[in-house]
Amino acid sequence: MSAWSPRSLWAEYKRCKVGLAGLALFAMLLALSVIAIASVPLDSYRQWNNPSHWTEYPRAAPPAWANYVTGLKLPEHMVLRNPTVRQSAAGWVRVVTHTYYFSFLYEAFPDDFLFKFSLIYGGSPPLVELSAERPDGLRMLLARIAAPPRPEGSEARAYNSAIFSTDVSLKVNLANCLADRVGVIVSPDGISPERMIFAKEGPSMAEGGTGVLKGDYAFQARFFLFGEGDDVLSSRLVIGGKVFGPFGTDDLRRDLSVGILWGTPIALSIGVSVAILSVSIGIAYGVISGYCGGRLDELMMRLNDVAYAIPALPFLILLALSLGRSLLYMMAYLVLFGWVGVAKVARSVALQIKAAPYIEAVELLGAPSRRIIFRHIAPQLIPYAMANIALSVPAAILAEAGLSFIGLGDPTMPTWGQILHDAQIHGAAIRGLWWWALSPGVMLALSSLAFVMMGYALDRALNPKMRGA
Amino acid sequence: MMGLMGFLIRRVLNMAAVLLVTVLLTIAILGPSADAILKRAIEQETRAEILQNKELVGKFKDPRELEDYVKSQIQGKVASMGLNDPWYSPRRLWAIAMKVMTLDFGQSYYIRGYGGSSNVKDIILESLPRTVLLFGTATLLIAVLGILVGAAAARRAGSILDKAVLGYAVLSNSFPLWWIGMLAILVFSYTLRIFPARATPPILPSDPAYPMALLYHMALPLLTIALIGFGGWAYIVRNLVAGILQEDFITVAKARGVPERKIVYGHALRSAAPPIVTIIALALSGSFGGAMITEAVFDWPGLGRLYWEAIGLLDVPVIVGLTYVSTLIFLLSVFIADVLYGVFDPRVRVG
Amino acid sequence: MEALAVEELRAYYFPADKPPLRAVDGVSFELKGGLSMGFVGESGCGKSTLGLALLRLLPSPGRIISGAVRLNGVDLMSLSEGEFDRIVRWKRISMIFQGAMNALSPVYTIGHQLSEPLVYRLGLPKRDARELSIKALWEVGLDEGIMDRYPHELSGGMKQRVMIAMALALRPDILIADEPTTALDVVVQAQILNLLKDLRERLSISIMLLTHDLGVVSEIADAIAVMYAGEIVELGPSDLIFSDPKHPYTRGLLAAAPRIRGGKSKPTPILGSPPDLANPPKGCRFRPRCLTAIPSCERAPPTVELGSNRMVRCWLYG
Repeated sequence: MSAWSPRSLWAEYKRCKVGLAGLALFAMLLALSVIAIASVPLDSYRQWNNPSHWTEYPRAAPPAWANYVTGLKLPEHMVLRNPTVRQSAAGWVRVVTHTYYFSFLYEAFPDDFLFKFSLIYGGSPPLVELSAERPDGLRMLLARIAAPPRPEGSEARAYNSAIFSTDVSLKVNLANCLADRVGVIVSPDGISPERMIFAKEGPSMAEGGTGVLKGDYAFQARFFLFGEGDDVLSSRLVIGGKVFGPFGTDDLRRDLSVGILWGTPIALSIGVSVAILSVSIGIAYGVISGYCGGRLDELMMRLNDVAYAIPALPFLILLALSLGRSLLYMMAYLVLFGWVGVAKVARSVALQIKAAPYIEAVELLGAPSRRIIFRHIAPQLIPYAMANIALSVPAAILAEAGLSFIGLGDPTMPTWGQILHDAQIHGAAIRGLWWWALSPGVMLALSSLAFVMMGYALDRALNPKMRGA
Repeated sequence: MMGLMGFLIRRVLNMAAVLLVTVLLTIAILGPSADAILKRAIEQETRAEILQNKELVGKFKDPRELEDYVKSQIQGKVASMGLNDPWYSPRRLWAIAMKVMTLDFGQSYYIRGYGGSSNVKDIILESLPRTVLLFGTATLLIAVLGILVGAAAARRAGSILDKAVLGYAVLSNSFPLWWIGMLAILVFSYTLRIFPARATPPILPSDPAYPMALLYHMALPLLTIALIGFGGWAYIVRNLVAGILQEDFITVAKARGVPERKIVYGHALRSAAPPIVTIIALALSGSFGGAMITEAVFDWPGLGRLYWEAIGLLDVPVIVGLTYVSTLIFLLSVFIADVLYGVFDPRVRVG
Repeated sequence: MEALAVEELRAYYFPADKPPLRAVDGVSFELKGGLSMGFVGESGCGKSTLGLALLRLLPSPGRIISGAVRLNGVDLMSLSEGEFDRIVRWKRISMIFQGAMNALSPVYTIGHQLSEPLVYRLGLPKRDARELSIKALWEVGLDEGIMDRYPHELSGGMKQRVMIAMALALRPDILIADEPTTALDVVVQAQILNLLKDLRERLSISIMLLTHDLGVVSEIADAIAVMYAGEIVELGPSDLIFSDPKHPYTRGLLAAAPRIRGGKSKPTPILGSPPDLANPPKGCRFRPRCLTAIPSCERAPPTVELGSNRMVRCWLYG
């Protein structure tokens, strides 16, 4: 073990392309973590296991980019939250208009749609009128409903409701509209509203349309408010599609991008902190054992041998079941099993350093052993520790993923392993929901790969002997 | 052969020590909750025993009296088993250790064996052979592939094959095995429809076609485990053999005319065999967990799937039983590796 | 006529992205049949490389760059690797390797390893090979009982005897003995040297003895070549080298060696350390350590013939 400096180590590390690739991958994961924390609201992450949070999302939709791969142009699921708002007043009636403009350029019809709104009103119930304007200028009334009446003079309160595409009145309205304006007689029972709205104009509309009319659509909601303090708090339009977002959704309609993006900082912090802790403990154990020698060394190494021979997974399961499974506990369990291998090698390295003449000189000067261990021996082990930490990170990440996968993850924090657990339970692989099974695993593999590559390069930089081979 | 015997005795002693620590550790982890399991089991047993005895039940007029009688009986049994002592009292520790050593894990909560048995020992012993079959075969396959490919890579150090082995080892060790299992199902069962998605054959074990069906259903998990597992072994073998190929005795063997193939697969590989066996025994511990989880992915009716079910149902007695049995299997496979070490290394065998 | 003639042999190592190591850099000598020649020098002077180069067993990244090697008049350099392996290696030139401890495979019995050259090089059936191997063991003073033993069960001296038996099993013309006695205790060293001397006479083979130990050379060598930094700096009959060393390095070596024949002065070490073979000093390579260096030493020293079979490369004589 020769003397080292950060600079010489870096110079040696730089020469290894694999190491640089690993570093790049690590930087990418860090960037992804920052993006996750900055762009995905913590709230939607916290709501991961709350099904009512995800009702607006499609069920088991592939990612949007799947269209490029498959060549199909399946409609993308859209959750529109920012309408163009206009207000006008006529006497004691105020009209608030929320208009949603979007272009629809897909080959297939949307699955369904949903208009959600939130009002505040007192005595006289407001009216809501929802209509759609097609690219060809045809304007169709979808629904006209009134909020439930409240006793005269009652306090203004919020009211949340929604208009679903499956409402029967919607079909009737649309059928009437088509009969009046296009001259096509449609039986309201057979054809779904989205087909009536999005089909190309023509006689074929009677049978559900031959194709999608592509272009810019506008959905307009007009709120007629009659009271002084009445107002529209918010609204949103969901056009149900078959593909969604960068990672798709799962069977429970959850937006996988939330879990996968947030999984990055979580996996990295699990991996890095478990690795640092277990390697530090292992090195301390090994150095103390090696330096003190004698009976203590013998005892510590026997203990180490036994610990080495205990298979980790069954005990991780037991610990998680009996002591608890919050993420911090989880990390503690992993540290418990992580230090063992390091200790053995650290001991042999410590023995080598201990034999070096300058350590003997320091001993002769009367330095206490604590000082010798922590000031003279431990620093020499830093490069070795770094390589070991890098190689322990993937082990920790994969172990956490494994535990989560068998259903022992922290229920308050979704990790990649837990997403895969849900995927397994819902038979994602057997049902061909590839995006559900694929992306969390790819993230796992990329994270561990980054550290394996960095560890490999560090190892090479530290052991010149390996370079020739 | 004294050397080998002595060596094996030492290994057996070490194994016993590990097993003892395992037992103590489990007791310490489960501590009070293990007591609760035990008491519950006693309660169930005693109650069932009394209620089945119609004559005895008939003697009680008042159901409350009967209940009191049952309770006092249970109390008596709990006391006689020493469950009133804390779990860490030496007497208790010894009793639990004895139970574990005889694989007496009590009754399961929910999980039943194929014959309907709720005895944890029976349930586990039913699944055990399947795990041994799958992982025994997989390990053999991995060993053969890993050693052949690793030695071939060492023979041509620096070649494309050598680099491919390194790359493959790094890649395959970065993936969780069970995730590859999911992908394998996705590709080979869902998309290509070559293999069945569930590894459990849909016919009864008594059916004469069962062995073939089992093999067919085993193919996908087997191939997945073997193909992902052998990369790491090949890399280990490659490094050890490449190191040995630098040794003087290899040059000497070459000089005295030993053909290159015999040098690599004879002198070098045989010299590397003891360290290969040791390192691989340790590597087993790393892959052990992943392999157990993989069973659940493929729905292979072995210990791994039993684990999955037991965790899903929180069937604690089954989980505790599985902990011991899987530790035992693990230790046994390490022990087999030790025996092989002794067989391969003449220095141990004779010295 | 000479059994082995080597002319201007160069063998370098080419480590990745570093200048080559010139381990053997223009070595010439002739070795007569049945005689032995000692190659003396500090470790790292290129003597082991010379031995391995003659057997074409240089470990990668080593290569023979140029030079001529003739064995009984046959040009060995023109042989392909296959021909060399079939005709020359171990049959005509064999070698005892440095470090007898590591020269035998740990996992095969002595008998198996002894039979290997007979089986693979001569194509003998296993049974005949075993019989011949037992005879070879007798030749080196070992008992056939060790045929079924493993190397780790033998002492260092026994292993070295096995190596000698193995090297001589095919009756080569030339035996290269690389540090045959290093790591053995003194009594065993003497036994091994006697064995080598004895075998040389009985089998009339030529021995190239590569060693750092002048004592060993004085025991056995008819001629001595002193090597320094990949070159032979002095060459001549053994007694003349000892009684009248010419090259300052040879003198230094003799002064540094413990007295063999009862001198009175204490050993004096040569100052400094051997040069870096990747970047040796210009001119005479010994110049930086030489106490008698003169300005001309900055140019390559001349090869000076000093009468019968005597040569020195030094400006002091040029």
